[in-house]
Order: sequence, then structure tokens, then C-alpha cells
Amino acid sequence: MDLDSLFHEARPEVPEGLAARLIAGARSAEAQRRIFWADVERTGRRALAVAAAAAVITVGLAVSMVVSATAPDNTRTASLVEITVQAQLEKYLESP
Amino acid sequence: MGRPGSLRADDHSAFEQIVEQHAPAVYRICAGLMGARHGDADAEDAAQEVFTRVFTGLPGFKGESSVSTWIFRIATNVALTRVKRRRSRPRAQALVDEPNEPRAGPQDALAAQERREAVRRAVEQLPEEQRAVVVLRGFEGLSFEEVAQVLGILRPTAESRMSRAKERLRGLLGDFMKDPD
Repeated sequence: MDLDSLFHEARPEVPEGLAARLIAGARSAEAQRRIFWADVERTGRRALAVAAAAAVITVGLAVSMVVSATAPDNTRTASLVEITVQAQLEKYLESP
Repeated sequence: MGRPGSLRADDHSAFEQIVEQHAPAVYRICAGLMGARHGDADAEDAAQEVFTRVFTGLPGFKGESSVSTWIFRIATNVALTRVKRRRSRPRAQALVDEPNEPRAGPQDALAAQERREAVRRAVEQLPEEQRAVVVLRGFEGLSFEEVAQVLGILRPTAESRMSRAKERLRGLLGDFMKDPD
């Protein structure tokens, strides 16, 4: 048997009277209410995820701002190192 | 795929016609994507959600795609959302056994039932994007163009997903494919 025949054979069987049940169900207020609340729940979950992501980003930004404000001045540290190295080098070159 | 001109939610006979025309395909799409067995109430419940959404969405349907494409897209989204939601919960067992083949002998019926179950399990193992193409193309017989429209992808993408799915299924269903029946 090839795959296409297997697919054809494996098609799910449709229960009897399905269309009539679906027509009646689709018009029922209960079904529409269920879908409304499912959508509300899904939107709420999505909003919660967006809010959580925004909170993480905000905290990350705040932490990085605090760190950069309180950390020692790297530029100054770098120039100090440079001066020291230069002085050591001059001393070394001057020595016989 | 049909493209009725004016559809309104209050046009009850048009809605009934739509349901009668699409209910079997919608049920099969939901059952196929959800890996439902015969008699599994989940598939019918999903089909119910699809047609409730169709009923409430008809006034806003602008006819940018055919009605069938629109309905099959809703069916695919509803079924895949349910699959994702179900991952955290154990699935309910089938409520009814598979029916026997009407004209086949008991041995043939058993073999056919075994094959159906094997295909169902194999398709369930595919990634969702490939499963959707297999269900729409393999089970429902939609053209690649239609599959692409339903899933909102390009036709070559649909074709390559089908090709990868078939490759995997050949590996999973090898024993059944060697069967001379």
C-alpha cells in the first residue's frame, strides 16, 4: 500500500447526525458564551505575558543604569594604567 | 472551493447549507490534527467551536478568500490551539471502538483497523506544521495551492513540508507499506 492509500483509509469517520448537532449548537447562546470567555482568557494570558516581558526589560534597563552610574570610571582607570605603563617603560629605556 | 456572494448570519438557510457542506471535512481536520479516535468527543467539540465561530463571524466575512478556505483556516487554528492546550493535560480515551469495515471479513477489518491506528499514531508524531499539511492534503485531498492558502504559507513551503512528512511517515509506517494488500 502506498502512503496516499494509507491516508485515504485513515481518514477519520464522521459521526452520524453531525451537521444537525453542529447547526443547533452553533446558534446556542451557551456555545457563543463559551467562545467569548475562551477568547477573553486567551487575550488575558497574552496581555499577562506581554506585561511580564515589559517588566523584565524595565528591571534590566534600571539595573544597567544603576550599575553604569555607580561603577568606577573605566576611562579614568584606563588612562591611569596607561600612564603607569608609560612611566615604567621610560624608566626601563633610560636605565643603562 | 465555494465562494458564495452574500452571506449573512441571519440567513439561516445559508448557514445550514455551509454546515452541511463543510461539517465532514471540518470534523476530519479537527480529528486528524488532534489525533482523535473514532467517537472521541473532543473532535466534535472542536468542530462545534469552529461552526460557532463561523456563525458569529459571518457578518464580518469580507470574501477575501473562499468560504471553504476561511472555514478550514478556523478549523486548523481551533484544533492546533486545543492540541497546545491539551499538552499539559492527559488526553481522554476514545469513547467508542473503531467500527468494523462493512464489507470486509473479520481478518481484513482487523488489519484495516490496525493500519488506521498506526497512521493516526504516526501522524500524531509529526511536528504540527507538517501534520497540518498531511491532514489537509493527505486526508482531505486539498491541492497544494489550497493548503497554502489555508495555512497562510507559500505553495513551495507546503510542498516541502509534505515531502518531509512523507519521508518521516515512510520510516514510521514501513511495515504497512510493504503489505501487498
